[in-house]
Amino acid sequence: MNWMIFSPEICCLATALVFLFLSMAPVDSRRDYIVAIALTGVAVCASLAGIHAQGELFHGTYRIDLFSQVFKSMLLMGLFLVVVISSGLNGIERRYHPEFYMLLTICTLALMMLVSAVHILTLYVALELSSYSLYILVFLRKGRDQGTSSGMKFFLIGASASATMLFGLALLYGATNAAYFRVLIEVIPGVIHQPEVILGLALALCGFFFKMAVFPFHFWAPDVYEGAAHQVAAYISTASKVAVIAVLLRMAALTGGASTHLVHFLAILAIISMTVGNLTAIAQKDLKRLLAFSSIAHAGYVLVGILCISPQGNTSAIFYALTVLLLKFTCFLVVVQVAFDGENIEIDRLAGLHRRSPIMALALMTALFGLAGIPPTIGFTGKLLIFTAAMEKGYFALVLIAMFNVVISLYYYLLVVRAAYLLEPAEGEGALAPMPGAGILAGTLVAAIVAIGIYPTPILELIRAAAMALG
Amino acid sequence: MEPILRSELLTPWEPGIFSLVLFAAVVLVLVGFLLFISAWLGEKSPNPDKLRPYESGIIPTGSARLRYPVPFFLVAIFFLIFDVEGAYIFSWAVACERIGWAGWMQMSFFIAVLLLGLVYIWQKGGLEWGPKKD
Repeated sequence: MNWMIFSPEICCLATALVFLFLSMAPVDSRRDYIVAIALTGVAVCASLAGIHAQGELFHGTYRIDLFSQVFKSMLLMGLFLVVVISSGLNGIERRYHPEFYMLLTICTLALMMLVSAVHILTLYVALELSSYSLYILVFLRKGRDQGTSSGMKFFLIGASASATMLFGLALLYGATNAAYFRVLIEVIPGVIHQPEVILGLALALCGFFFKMAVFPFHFWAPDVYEGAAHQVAAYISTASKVAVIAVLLRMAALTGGASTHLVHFLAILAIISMTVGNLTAIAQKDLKRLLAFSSIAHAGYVLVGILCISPQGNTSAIFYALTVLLLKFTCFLVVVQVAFDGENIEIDRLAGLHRRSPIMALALMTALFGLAGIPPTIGFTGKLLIFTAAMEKGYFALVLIAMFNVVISLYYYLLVVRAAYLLEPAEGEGALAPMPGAGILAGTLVAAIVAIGIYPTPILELIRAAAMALG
Repeated sequence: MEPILRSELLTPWEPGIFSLVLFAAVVLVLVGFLLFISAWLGEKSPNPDKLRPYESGIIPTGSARLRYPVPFFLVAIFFLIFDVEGAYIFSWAVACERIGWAGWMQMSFFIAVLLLGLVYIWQKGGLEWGPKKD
């Protein structure tokens, strides 16, 4: 067995172990922060170094290829960025900080296993491990009521979604007698017209729709984003979404594009998700709730790319994962800096941000324009790729509805930008004192968002190769 | 690959779906009709004696919201966690010779993780019982 190709996961596991021991040592949150940055930095380097690794582990239940490694790099970068904005971490009690880092790394480990899993049981175990770490992370919010009620909602909806998913996987296994994806991919196209196969696939996808916050499973998202600490919400909206996109791509690839039923099912969910997400976001006052509804809408856009089940569609979905990671993280970077005390933040509290901290206002504006899909940001490129992939497959109506939604979403993103740029700051609100290095981080992110938006070719080529490894 | 289940598990989409839809519609209409008719025709004369929780006539005492000591809950959870591990260890023990040293390594890893968990709850005071020592 070649352990070198497993090194990003081993780095993550080692980090989790270090924090398990630190949680039993005397409390020192400065030490935890520095150790976390160092160790997750090492993990990012390990994943980037092993991006071209290939192989199979654990009796063929775990595949390492360019597809999984690209996603692992994104996941670890997401983890690293979330750790970087945890220097204050005022939303979580001091004595729980080591546990916070431990659960974050365990969750990332589980998500990495999720993108590499090619056996339905491995897939299920990885999904549960990541969900359970997130449930506890949501509960950790300081001030009992908020964290507990949103954590409870998260847990109950998650438990029912994973039960649905198990039922779907059982049907799938019953109908095909196969649990390995490489066998399933050969068997399924031949039996796709049997009801139990379609039903099994649809129900199995439900477990991932829950994590992705797609329409019938989206009810937890606004409450959890609002009730969880900012850093945890940032993690849920970036890293966990990225991993789910990977799994949905793998599951959709199983059908080989042979089922119109499944495509229709996904298309309906995509349309409802983006419409519900965008229309509800308009009415939101709390910035994190607004971001949650925008996540639901973006889940809809990604589904449009996934349901193409073509190399272009897969490429666009992977690129959109990177897009969501960068843009959502930038929004949460600003949330964390403006609400450094760890309290929730109303949109009105952004008033006059361009006076209080020009770089944060610029970052917020770029990220929101990106989410709305305005050129020259990465968000425009991502949406363009998804819509061209769908047009090539002839889903004109779907693209038209998505376009309408983009226009609706522009309205509420502009409301936030207006608050940051056009309103005067409230009395007594001085200059923002962000954490050290936040300005540099924000500048780097803005540069990355614009640079990849203008010149995506090198990254796109890597992603195209990754999408090829999927098939 | 032979499917385990033949297609008889679920009926094909059509025309089988029609009878299901018809049946569902009949069920919904019937249930709705029964609920409506009993609410419309039924005699309603509530009085305190009728509204008591126990129909036998026993008068309830005290509050329904009992405060239960948390240690019981903790012990139940810990028991659950460390009991489930038994299921894995027994099944490993049965196949111990056949899966060899690789299986032994995996089981050792599993047990090491569980022991770490035990150390953690011990250190955090999860096993303390009774009043807190200061």
